[in-house]
Amino acid sequence: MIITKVAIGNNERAFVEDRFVNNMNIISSDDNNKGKTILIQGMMYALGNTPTFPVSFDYKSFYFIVEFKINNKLYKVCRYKDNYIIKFENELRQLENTSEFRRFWDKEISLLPKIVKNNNLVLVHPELFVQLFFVGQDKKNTSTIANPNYYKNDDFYNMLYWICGVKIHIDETELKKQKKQLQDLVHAKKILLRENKILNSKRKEISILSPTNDRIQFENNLDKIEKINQTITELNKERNRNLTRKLKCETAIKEINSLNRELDTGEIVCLNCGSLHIGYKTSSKNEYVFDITTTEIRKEIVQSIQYKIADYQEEIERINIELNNKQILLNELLTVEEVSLEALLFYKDDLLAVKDIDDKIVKLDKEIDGVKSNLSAIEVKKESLELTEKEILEKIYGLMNETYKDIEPNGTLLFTSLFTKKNETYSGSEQTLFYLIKTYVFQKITGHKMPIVVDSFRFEDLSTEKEKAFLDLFNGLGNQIIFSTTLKDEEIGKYDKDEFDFVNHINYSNHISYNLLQTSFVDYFNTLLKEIIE
Amino acid sequence: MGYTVLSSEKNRSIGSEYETKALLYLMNYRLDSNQINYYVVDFFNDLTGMCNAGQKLWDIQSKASKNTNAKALGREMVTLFKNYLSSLQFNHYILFVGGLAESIRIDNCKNVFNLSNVSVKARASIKLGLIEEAQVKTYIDSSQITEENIEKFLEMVQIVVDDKKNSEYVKAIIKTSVKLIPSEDILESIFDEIKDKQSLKKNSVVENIVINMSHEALDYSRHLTSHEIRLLAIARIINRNPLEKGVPSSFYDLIKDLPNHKRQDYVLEGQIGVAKALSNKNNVNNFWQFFENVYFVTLENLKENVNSIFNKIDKALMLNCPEFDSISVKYFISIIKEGIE
Repeated sequence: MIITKVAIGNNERAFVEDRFVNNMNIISSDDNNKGKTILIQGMMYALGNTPTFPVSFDYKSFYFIVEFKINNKLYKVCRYKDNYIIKFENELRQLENTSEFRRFWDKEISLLPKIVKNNNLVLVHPELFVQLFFVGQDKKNTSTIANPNYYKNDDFYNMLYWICGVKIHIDETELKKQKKQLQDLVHAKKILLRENKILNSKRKEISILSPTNDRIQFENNLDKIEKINQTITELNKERNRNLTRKLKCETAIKEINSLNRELDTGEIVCLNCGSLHIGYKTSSKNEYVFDITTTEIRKEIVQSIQYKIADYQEEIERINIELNNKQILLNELLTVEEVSLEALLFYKDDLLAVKDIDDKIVKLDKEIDGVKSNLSAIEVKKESLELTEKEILEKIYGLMNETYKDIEPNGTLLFTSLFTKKNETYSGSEQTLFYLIKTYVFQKITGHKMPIVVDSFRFEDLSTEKEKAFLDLFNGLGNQIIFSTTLKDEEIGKYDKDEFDFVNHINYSNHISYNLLQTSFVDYFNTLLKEIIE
Repeated sequence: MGYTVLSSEKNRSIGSEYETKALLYLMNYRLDSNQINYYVVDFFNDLTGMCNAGQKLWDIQSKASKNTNAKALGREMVTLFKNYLSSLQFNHYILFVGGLAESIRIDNCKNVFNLSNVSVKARASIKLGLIEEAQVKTYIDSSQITEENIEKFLEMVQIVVDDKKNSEYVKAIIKTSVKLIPSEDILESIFDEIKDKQSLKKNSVVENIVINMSHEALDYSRHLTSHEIRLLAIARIINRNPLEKGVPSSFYDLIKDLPNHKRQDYVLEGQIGVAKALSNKNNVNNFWQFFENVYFVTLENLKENVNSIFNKIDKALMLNCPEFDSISVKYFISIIKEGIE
């Protein structure tokens, strides 16, 4: 999106800014109160932002026009109080409030993010959306979003997730509803069982006659079987490990015994006279004469390994006994008891009396299963969602910290949140860095095409070196950039120098203080207005 | 004229303990100890120290007796005198003795001294003893037993009186190389090992061999080096039975995040690998070369963890010791690290 014109005015006074270019624009002036902020606020106001004009500026008596292009399609928006008139490609729309404007934007211009607000998935208002690419000059607070009224910090996070592709959301009301339902069902079942104790009996005969009891007994049994089975598997593994260790030690002893044997060598004899008195000359190469270890240590080593083998053997035997015990237990659990017909008949009458209850519980069980599976589906979704959101944030913080290190290699800040804690304060220049880095990173992460607008981008001072670094960064994004700043005396003319040749410098220095709007612009303004309405 | 090997001892004497003490004296207690690299056993004399280049020689004759009198002292000097007269150049002539009769020294506290610390009377007896003995020995040309030769020689002789226990001599080898102070038993057994190897060196026959340059003596494999002796002492103290001691903490650091049963496996693997390497009797050279490398790399990188030390050791030397794999080498490094930290 490229802003081409911004116009503010009425029949008496007006101002039109039409000098914007597609890439980097810096509006400067030699003093405050030359109208930079009014112009930028006016532009954002025309784009649907909540009004944040200085009190002295009676914005309600003016029309605000913004003209912009998206994919070479020209849009003209005129806002007067809460009314919007939009003209594009010979179509004319009239909208009565910002909510309508928001819907129009979503349908005709570009998709707006959706977030869950009061349990409904709704389009965000421009008020929140513009904070992705716009930083105003006044009332800065690093711990919140700008103008935290209807929207809160969390809403901003959710908007970011949506833009980064997280389009699903968890319906918390539904989740609560399902949880409550599960509670009720479980409670109802508990009461029924308590009132009809026979259904909860551990007697085998009952399970044959009652599906409820069968299920209860089966579940109990299954639990026990699983536990024992697990223990058996663990014991088996442990036995194998001990066996492997024992074998390793046994092999080691065998190897050591063979290594321990010195290779027998013959002796040298003179073949002529049979004398053993023969001289020996070695190479002068450094040869070691000492043994690697002493006999005592070698003996000790073998002894220790033998002890280890004995220990492992003992351990294996202990595990064997434990295993046998568990296997016996498992067999008992798996054996199906014979039930005599007499015993069945004995309980038949009692059970007939509670047949309705039995059926009711079976039905309850089915419902409980249904709700449980619903809940687990939601939980799974929720977990994966939280994971994705975490990843997005990590990516953002990572890039923020990386950018910070590039700009301020010796800096000590570490960003772990998009907003500071309430009691945390940044120094003036740190705050400026924080906002610029955030705005830069938002574009890098989301890849949005909106113009990046920062009013007073050097607020609270930014050294010339860092300023240049930031301008290079932003210039590299490819978005339209609209920055404003007040120049100090010694800086006047700096943006006209060669090193800033990528900057379109819009100079407001010759404006009369507190009088941006002039009669001289009224005709131009009226022409623009007519173009929209007619 | 060549140097002929004569009067080598052939059989082991009870004095061999003093020869080992003499060796360790040369190795650790002299100001010029660090210049001596080779200890040639029973070749020129009981023991002869030689520098790395094979040029400088420290000749030692040792005498175990605890109460040697002056004349006997002179007689013991005969082999030193023989070397003095020989075609080779010896730089120091040292008589290493177990003890001296009271009357010999002027200052009885001095255990290392030359004849200026010997009373006039004792000096005369020494001279007499030396001349008598020299005249008896067939390997000394009697025409060379002149007043001048004798006097000049006596000026050069140094007498060293042993005043230390075997274990103290061993302790001096390792004074800065290992952390733990080993028990008296271990020190004694190291001393004995050195002594045994020193005696073994006498087994070959060198009598009547002729050499022209002193360094040729090294061709007969009758020497030990400072280096291997020092390494031996370190190894004997550090490389104890790896299964008896607890797991070295630096090895435990490597495995602490593993599940319990894995940890046990790694420890066993490490211990057994080290045990096997220590038990191999047929890979002596490769083991010592590898041990030396691991020891020095560990010493130079004590602050670093076992993995980074492992990265720095010579893998070619490691491959020469087939009992070792990477786990057991790391265990080995940890043992050494713990031994010297």
